Amino acid sequence: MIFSLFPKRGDSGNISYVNSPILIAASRGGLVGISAAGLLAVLSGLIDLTGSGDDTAVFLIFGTLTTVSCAYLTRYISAKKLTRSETFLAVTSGFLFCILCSSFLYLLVIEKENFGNAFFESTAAFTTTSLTVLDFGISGRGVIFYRTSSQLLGSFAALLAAVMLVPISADNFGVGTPGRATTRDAFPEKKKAVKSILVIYLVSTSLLTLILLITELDYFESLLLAISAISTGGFSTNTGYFKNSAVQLPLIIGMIAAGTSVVVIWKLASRKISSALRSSELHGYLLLIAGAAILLFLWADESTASSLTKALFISVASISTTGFHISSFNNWPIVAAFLLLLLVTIGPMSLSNGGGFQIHRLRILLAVSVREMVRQLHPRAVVKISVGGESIKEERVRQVVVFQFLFTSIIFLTATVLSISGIGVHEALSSSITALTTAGPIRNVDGVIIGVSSFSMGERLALVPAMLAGRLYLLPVLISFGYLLSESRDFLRPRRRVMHALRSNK
Amino acid sequence: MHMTGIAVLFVAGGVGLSTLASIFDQRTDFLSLLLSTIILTSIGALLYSSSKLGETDQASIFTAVGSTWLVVSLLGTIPYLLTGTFSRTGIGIPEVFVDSLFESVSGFTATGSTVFGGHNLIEMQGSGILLYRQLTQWMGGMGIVVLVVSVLPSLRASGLGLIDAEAPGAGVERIAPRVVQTAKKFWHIYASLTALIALALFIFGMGLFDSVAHALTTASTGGFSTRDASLGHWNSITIEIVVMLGFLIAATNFTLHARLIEKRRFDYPSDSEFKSFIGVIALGVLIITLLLNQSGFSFGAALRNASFNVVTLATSGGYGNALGSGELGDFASWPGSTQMLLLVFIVLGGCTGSTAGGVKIMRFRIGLAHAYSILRSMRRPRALIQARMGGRTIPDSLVERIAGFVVVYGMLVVIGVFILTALGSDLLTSLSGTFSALGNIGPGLGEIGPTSSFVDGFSAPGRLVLLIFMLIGRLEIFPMLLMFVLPYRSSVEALKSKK
Repeated sequence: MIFSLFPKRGDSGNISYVNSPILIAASRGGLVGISAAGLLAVLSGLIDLTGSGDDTAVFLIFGTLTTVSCAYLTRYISAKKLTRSETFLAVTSGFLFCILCSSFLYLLVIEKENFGNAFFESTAAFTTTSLTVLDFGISGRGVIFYRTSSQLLGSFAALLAAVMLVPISADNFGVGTPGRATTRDAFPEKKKAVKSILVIYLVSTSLLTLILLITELDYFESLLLAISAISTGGFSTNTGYFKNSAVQLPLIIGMIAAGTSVVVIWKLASRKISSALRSSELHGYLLLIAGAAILLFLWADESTASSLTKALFISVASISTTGFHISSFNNWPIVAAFLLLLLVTIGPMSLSNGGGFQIHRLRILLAVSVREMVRQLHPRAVVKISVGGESIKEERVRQVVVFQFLFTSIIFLTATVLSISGIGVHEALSSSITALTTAGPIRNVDGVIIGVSSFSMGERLALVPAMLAGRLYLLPVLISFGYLLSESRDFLRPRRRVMHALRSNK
Repeated sequence: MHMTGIAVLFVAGGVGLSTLASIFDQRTDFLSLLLSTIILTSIGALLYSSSKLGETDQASIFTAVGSTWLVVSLLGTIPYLLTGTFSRTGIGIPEVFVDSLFESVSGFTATGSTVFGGHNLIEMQGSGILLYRQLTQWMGGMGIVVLVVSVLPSLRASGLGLIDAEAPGAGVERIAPRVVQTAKKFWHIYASLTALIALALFIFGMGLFDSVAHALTTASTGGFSTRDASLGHWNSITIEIVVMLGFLIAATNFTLHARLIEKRRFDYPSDSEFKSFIGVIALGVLIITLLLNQSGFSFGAALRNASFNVVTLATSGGYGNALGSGELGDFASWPGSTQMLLLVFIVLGGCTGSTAGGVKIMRFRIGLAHAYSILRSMRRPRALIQARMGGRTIPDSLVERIAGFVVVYGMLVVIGVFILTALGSDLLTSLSGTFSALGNIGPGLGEIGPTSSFVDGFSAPGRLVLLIFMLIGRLEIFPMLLMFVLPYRSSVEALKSKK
C-alpha cells in the first residue's frame, strides 16, 4: 500500500508519519531538493544586496522558511535504508521538488508571470538546458544569480548522482564501464566523491571567473558566465559578450573542461597527468571538437582568425551541450545545422557535466557494429567488445544498446507530440534533441536561433519530461517511473486492495 | 558468377517480355529492347558458364548475394540507356547513367523512388520500357536470389544461407523440407497474389496493361506506377482499397500465407507481429485522420487519404493517390503533425519474411521487450530476467543480432543525412530520403513527396548515395557492407601472411 493511515515508529526512533517506501523515498528526495533551493535562495538574497537589494527580503524569507521547514519535517520521515529503485525515485523527486520550489520563487520575484513560464524556466535552469522564457532584462542581481546558479546546482546534483549511484546503478547504462574502476580509484569513498566534485566545481568556476575578469567584463558578469560555462547551462542575460574573441577563448576552455570527465580532471589535479592524457575517450572528444570546428570554419568561408574562434566556440558550445546563444555564420550551409545537431546528440565525455549520448557510449555502439559484422561471417564466434583496450561486459553492452533505443524513442516521441501541436518536423526534431541532451539553443534549418518563447505553453511543457530525463541520464527517471507503476498496481486495483486489507485484518 | 549469371538471365527474360509488349506500341523501343535482351542473355550465359557452384562459406555467400544484386542493378540500366529513357537536353552522359542506375536500383530493390517527373513524364514512355520497369520491382520484391535458388537444386543447405542473407527480417523459416521447395513455394504464393491483385484491379476499372503492371508492383510493395499521378490518375476508392489489401497481404510474413494455403491454418490472429503491425497501422490511421480532419479536410477525405498513405508507407508500398502536387493525397503538403507520424511509419516497415522494407515491426517489439527486461533487471540486479515476447523467451543471440542491426542502421542514417545535406539537400528531405532508401519505401517528405521526382530533391551525387543505401537496405545492411569489407580483409590477411 502506498499510504498508511496510522503512524508507526521509524528506524531512528522518531515518530514517523510516513512508512510507505514510495512516500519515504519521494519525501526524502523532495526535502533535500527544497532545502537546496532554499539555501540557494538565501545566497541569492545576499548577492542581491550588492545590487539594488529590492528582492533581498523575499529571497531571505523564502529561503529561510523553506530550509527550516524541511529540516523540521525530516524528523517525521523514516530513516530506513532505501532500495535501488527508491534511491532513483528520491533523486528524481529531489529534482522535481527543487524545480517546483524555484517556480514559486520566480512567481514571487518576477512580476506578472504565470506558473507555466516559471516552471519551464526553473526546469531549464536545473536541467542546464539553454532555453529561457522569462525576461531578466530588468531583474535584480539576486534573481539573475539565482537563475544562473540553479544551473550549477542542477549540474552538480546530476553529476553527483551519476558518480554516487555508479556502484548501485549497474554503471548508469554502461556509462562508467571502464570508468567504474577509475571512478573508484579517484573517489574510493562517497564522502570523498562529494568533496572532490565540489572542489572541482568551485576551483574551475573560480579560475574561469578570474580569467574572465582579465577581459573587459565586471566581476558579476564574469561569475555568471563562468557558472554557465562550467555547469553547461548556457544561460546569459547578454549574448553580446560572445562576439568578443577575448571572452570566447576563456569560455572555450571552460566549456571543454566542463565536458571532460571528472575522473580525468581529478587525475590532472592529482598530477597523474600521463594517466589522464591516455584516456582514449578524451582523445575522441578533442578530435570531435577539432574536426567540427575545422568543418564549420571551412563552410563559413570567412578566412579570419575571429571566424576560426567563432567556429571553435560554436562547436564546443554544442558538443559540451552548454549552448551559449551565438548567431550563425552568414554563409551557413544546411549541413552545418545538421552537424550542430549531431554534436549536441553525441555530447561530451561520460561522467562530465554535459548531457547527450556521450562519447563512451558511442564508442561501445561502434564496437557493437563491428562485432555484428564479424558475427555475420562467423556466426558461432565469441566476440568480446573492448573499448580503449578494456573489455566491456555483455551486460553493459546491452544497457548501452537499450539506452540508444530509449534515447531515440524519447526524441521521436517528444518530436511527435510537438509536431501534433503544430511545430514543423525539423523544428520539432531539433527541439526534442535539444531538450533531451539538455543543450540549446533551438536552431531552424538555416541555423537561426528560435526563441522558445514562441512556443505555446503545451509545447514547452512537452519538453519538460525530456529535459528532466536527459539531465538525469534517463536511468533514474525511467526506473522511478517503472517503480511507481509497478508499486501502484495494487493501489490502482481497488478490489485487490480491499481483499488485501481484509486478509491482513484476519 | 554462376548464380549471378542465372539472375542476369532472369532479367533478360523480363526484358524479353517487355520487348514483346513494345510490339504493340507506337514508339520505336522495340529494337532497343531487343538489343538489350540479346546483350543481357549473352552476359548471363557467359557468367553462368564461366564458373560452377563450389563450397560455400559465410563470406562467399555474402559476396555472391551482394555481387548478384550489384551486377543485376548495373546491367538493369542497359534497357534504359539503349532506349534513351532518361536522355534529355541539358544533362550529360554521367547524369543519364546515374538516373538509369537510380531507376534500376529503385526497381530491383522494390523501393519505388523515381527520377521521372515534370521534366520527363512517365506517360510519355513506351509500354515496353514501362513493363520492364514494373518487372524489375516484381523480380526484386520477392528476391532475385530466392528466384535463383528455386532453380538451383544443387545448392542444398547453403541455399538457405543465401535466402537468409537476402530475406527481410531476422531470418527465414523453412516452409518445406528442402530449400529449393521453400524458395519455389514463396514464389508460387507471390505469383498467385500478383494474379489475384491484377484480376481485382481489372474488375474495378483499370485497363489490362495497367492492372498487370500495378499488380506486379503491389505484390512486391514496390510502388512504381505507369501513370505520373500514380493511383491518383484513377481517383477510385475501390482501386485504392484493392491496392491497400494487396500491400497488407504482401507486407505480412509469407510463412503465414503458406500455412493458410497448405495446412488450412489461419494463424494470423495468433501471430504477435501481425497483430502489432495491424494495430500500429490502425492507430496511425486514426490519429492522422483526426489531425487531417482538424486541419480542414472533410472526415471522409481525411479517412481515405490517411488510410491509403499510412498503408502505403507502412508496407513500403510507395504509391501516391494525389491528383497532383498540393492536392489532398500529397502528404508532403500536409500539416507537420501528420508528417512526423508518417516519418515514423517510414522507419517502422512491415513484417519479417514479407516483401516489405523498413526496420520491421518485430525488431521494434524485441527492442521494447529487451529494454523492459533491462530496466527490470536494473531494479532487481540478482533476479534472472530475460526478454520475452508473445509468451516466449527471446534468445540472447537474436537480441544481439537485432541490437547490431539497429546500431548499424542508426549509423548509416547519420552518415546518409550528413552526406546528403552536405550535397545541398534540406534536412527533412535528406532525413526522410535516407530512411526511405534504407527501408526501400519510395517517397519521402519535403521535396520528395508522392508527387515529386527525386531529381527535384537531390543532386546527381545525392541520388548516387541514395541508390547505394537502397541496395544496402534491401539486403538488410550486412551482405552489401561485408561485400565491400571482405576484399579489404583478405588483402590485409594476405599482407600479414607475406610478412
